[in-house]
Amino acid sequence: MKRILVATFLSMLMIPCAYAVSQAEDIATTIKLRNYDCGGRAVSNISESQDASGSRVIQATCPNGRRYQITVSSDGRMQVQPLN
Amino acid sequence: MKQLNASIASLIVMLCAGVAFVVPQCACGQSNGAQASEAVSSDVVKEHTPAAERKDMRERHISKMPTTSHNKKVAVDIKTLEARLKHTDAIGFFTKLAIRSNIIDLMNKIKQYRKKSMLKAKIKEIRTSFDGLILKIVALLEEDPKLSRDLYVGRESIWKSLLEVKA
Repeated sequence: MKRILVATFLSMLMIPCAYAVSQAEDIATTIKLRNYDCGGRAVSNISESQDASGSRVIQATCPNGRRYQITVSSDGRMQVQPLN
Repeated sequence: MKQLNASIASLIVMLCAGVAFVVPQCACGQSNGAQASEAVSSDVVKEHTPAAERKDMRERHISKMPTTSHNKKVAVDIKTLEARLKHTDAIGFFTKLAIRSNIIDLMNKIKQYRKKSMLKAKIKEIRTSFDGLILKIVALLEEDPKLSRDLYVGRESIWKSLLEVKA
């Protein structure tokens, strides 16, 4: 019993501060950082694909109803475009 | 049982020591840190010395503390800040890419204006957008207050390094 208590106590000490951001929040923040209106903290309906040039294309809907396309090129440049 | 109690007690003592060590450092803003250490020192001093002497000691203690006023230059290692920003968990991958893209856009603007010899005329405008970007990043980094504070404190150095980028 004592060992379990000590082990629990020690494991509690070892737990790192978990503040990982969800992808939905991450994308919403990205849209806002590129000076577009999103109307909330997290997006929905995320779809991901790759275009012919090898860029990563993400489409997501903001809480305000606007849908955006985020293109991440192979050199890491990011572009946000409103779709509607 | 005694050993167990002793080990738990020592762990608690270590934890308390850690908290006491961390709290003044984490206090955001220079004035808060100064206030925290002043409060700690005044509590110790209060019990043993008369009021006038206490005031004098406090003043001496404050004058000895390293000051980081706004007009004083703050040495910041930009490479380290960049690495810390890259590895922080407070913001996501896409946000980091967006910050990077915003900084590249700002650098391109500076290069463009420099080519056209319009940099001096447009410096206020660029500085305003730089300040806006820094404030946005600082706000986003609320889960990593130390990095957030360091970025804010080192904004002048970052600005200078941005201006140093050759066309």
